[in-house]
Amino acid sequence: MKTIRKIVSGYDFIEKWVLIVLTLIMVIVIAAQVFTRYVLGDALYWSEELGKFIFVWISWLGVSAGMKEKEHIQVRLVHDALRKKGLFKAQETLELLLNLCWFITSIIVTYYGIGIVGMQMDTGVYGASTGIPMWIPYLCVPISGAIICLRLIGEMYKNVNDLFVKRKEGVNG
Amino acid sequence: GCGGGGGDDSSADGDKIMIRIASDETSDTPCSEATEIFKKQVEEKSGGKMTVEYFCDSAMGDEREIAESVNMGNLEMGIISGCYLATYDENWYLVDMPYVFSDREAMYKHLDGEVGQILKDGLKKNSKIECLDFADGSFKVLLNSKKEVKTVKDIANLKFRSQESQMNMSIYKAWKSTAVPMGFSEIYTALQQGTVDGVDTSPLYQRSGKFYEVGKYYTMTNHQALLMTSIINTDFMASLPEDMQQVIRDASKEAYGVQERSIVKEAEEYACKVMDDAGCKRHDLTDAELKTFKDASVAVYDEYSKVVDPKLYELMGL
Amino acid sequence: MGSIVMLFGGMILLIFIGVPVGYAIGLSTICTYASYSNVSISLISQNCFTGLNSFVLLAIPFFILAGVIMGEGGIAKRLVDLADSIIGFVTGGLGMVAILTSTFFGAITGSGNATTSAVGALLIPSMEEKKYGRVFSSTLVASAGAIGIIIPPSIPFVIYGVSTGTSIGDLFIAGIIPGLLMALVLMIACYIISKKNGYGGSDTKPSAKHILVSAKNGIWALLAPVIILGGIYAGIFTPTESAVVAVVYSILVGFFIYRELTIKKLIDAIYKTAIINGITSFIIAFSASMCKFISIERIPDMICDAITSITDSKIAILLLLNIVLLLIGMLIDIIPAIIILAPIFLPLVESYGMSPIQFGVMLVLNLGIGFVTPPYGSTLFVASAISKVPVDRMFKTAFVFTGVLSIVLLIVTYLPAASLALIQ
Ligand code: NA
Ligand code: NA
Repeated sequence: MKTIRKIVSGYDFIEKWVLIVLTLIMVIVIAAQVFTRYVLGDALYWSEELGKFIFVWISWLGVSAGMKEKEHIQVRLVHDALRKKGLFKAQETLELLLNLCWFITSIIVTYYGIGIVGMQMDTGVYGASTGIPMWIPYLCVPISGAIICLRLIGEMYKNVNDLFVKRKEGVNG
Repeated sequence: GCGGGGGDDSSADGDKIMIRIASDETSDTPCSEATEIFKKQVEEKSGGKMTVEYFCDSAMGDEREIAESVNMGNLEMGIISGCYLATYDENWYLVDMPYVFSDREAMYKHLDGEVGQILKDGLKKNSKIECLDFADGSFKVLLNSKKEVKTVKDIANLKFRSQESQMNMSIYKAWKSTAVPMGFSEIYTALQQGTVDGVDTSPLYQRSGKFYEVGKYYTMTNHQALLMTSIINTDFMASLPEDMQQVIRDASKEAYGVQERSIVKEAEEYACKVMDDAGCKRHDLTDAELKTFKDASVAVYDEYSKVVDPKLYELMGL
Repeated sequence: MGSIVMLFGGMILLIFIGVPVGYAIGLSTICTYASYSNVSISLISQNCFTGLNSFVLLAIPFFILAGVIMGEGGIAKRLVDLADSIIGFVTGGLGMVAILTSTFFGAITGSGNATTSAVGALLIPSMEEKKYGRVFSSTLVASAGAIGIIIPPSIPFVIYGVSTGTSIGDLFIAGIIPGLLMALVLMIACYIISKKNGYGGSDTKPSAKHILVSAKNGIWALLAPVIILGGIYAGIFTPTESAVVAVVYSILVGFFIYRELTIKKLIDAIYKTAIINGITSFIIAFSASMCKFISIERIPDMICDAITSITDSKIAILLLLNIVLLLIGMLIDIIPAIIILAPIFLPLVESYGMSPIQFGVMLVLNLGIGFVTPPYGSTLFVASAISKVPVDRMFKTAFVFTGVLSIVLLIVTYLPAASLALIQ
């Protein structure tokens, strides 16, 4: 358990800094695009495509970071109603169900995402302006999908724990 | 219009083969009209075994996305510009080069002949896309909001919006001008606000994008063929019985290889008339003026001689 | 029909039990694809990339970042001080500042999300400081985001113009009066709500001295909008590029002039932006998949047939159409909605004598109101991400603003002059 926690917090740290650095690069690349066109009189031809690729990457990595920060946009009406009525078991079951829906979606996206990346590698397609192989920008879909799935497994483990184990302990104690 | 006949749950019955074909064009372009012909022929000749659904107006995404979808098998067919196929097979840079075809007839002859075959074979080898036929999206002309362009010298220091492809960057570099890559939907505002001074596309798309509303001059440079291709997913094609494959090939040849080419000239004249009527000033190049553009373009042939099959250069006499 | 129930019913159900909005759209789309279509589900994974691979969308994180940095670096504070010294004595004054700023930003960006993210990151914290309710502030800024796509330039108008062959220049001009009307009705609503709740309206009347001091303190801050607006109108950069210029400018001013920005604050601002972007942008990708299915199933054709089978009175058809469009705006994003709806509905209204320009304004306005209607309210999500107010707590106030904006919608629908008067 302790090692898992260590790995998770280590990953969280890396994710945070990857996001910060990629966002900075995106700013610098597009700023350079404006600068070279107007100050040096010569347009960069690769900056726009690179900016877009980075944007897709930070958007999907950001989904995972948003999970860690517990900031995702969710309607909490049912959740709050159950808590008000003191139906903690129902509330925990709902949490488990929501995480399961999320997990199913994510695992499907990841599965087909791997297929697409493999296919892009086979055909050797590359970005028109940057020359970056297209599997690299597409890779963010399965990678972030897998990370989201792992985070959700952790969440669901907690849900189940709260529902069954903790309750028993509560009764015993 | 309303209804339009579609809307049946045709995906439900298993025997019928559904062909989804997508483009980013509006429903009134020559390629869209040709697609209606294609649809009619396929449905008739297959005895109702195959149905065709056409998705225009970018409903299935832009041209790059359509190419990717066909490559992945998420779409059966697409109608896209040939330049987007260069990322699958570099030989396709050839069709995008400036002044590579001396005129329309020469272009048809090459594309229907050995050159076209090499391009098709290379594409099929490197991807899951088969190019069936070549349609004619007319030739690119230069429209701008600053001044009347007569020679290649006139466009130095002008900024032109261009499709996102390396070839366009090379062309504008060779012409000592600047290319600014941006998506189709951003062009109008960029031209209006002066972020770009001009846009290079064929009269058909100058008209459909309404760029003549914000640009004052256009020059018939005809510098680049805006080649359109009908493409199909190879796995899908292989899954069909021989006779059905033939139905698709025949219909594609008739629609894009014959009919489309016969209506494009009229569409081009109409598009130019719309631009003229809107007060956009047209300039036709004299031979001497044209030569300045052609001479400046030679650098591009040299640049791409490393990536394009030498056989193609030889066939094109480059 | 089953497919429609599964797609929209599933999405609404999943959102209301609390599945994160993006994943509710994703899951209902996956289920519908699997049950009703022979398209491979891999299209969803493909759209996870292609749905976001757009230069226009890049403006969103940039404007969020610029707003957050302006907040950290002291620019926002000075701008708000200045606005407050002028209009702060009025009830709801800062709310009106938010609406006017949105109108200005709307004249820059052409995107509702970008307008809301820029104005929200700048003003929601300040409004909170001046004791405005957080729910009210975030909902107001989200609603004002809709002005951004009616006041030119406007990406939705460009999309509509290209897909229907309507003059984009005329559409832009046609948007001016309705856009200003939207600002006006929102300001009236803002005044009434603020009066009721006692927001704003200090006893101190504005003094010339106070305004001058604030203006002097805020001169560099004031230059920010001037540079963004001026840069775009002088043709120096595109709206997306202007967002990145705003970022660079606010970093420079924050570091070297106001000296309130530190490296640590900058890094925090970047991470905060990455989180806000991370919980909003991916929704657009799933929404793109959903719209592909709507296209494939020819759902707009079915709606069109249904409307004409009910009635053939022009007034009734336009009313029905508005209701349908508002409902659609509740569920899907504006750009794909225009692409799939415009070519199908335009011939219908044209046969009743409506001009394509007027319909364009009506369509975009409808879908713009959809920015703040649950369950899929894109600017609501952005505002919620910035202010941390849960979306469901914003629904009630959003409903009020939706009603107010619907007045403008009715004017545009039944009074052609509202959109056509400025066009020769
Ligand atoms: Na705007
Ligand atoms: Na909505």
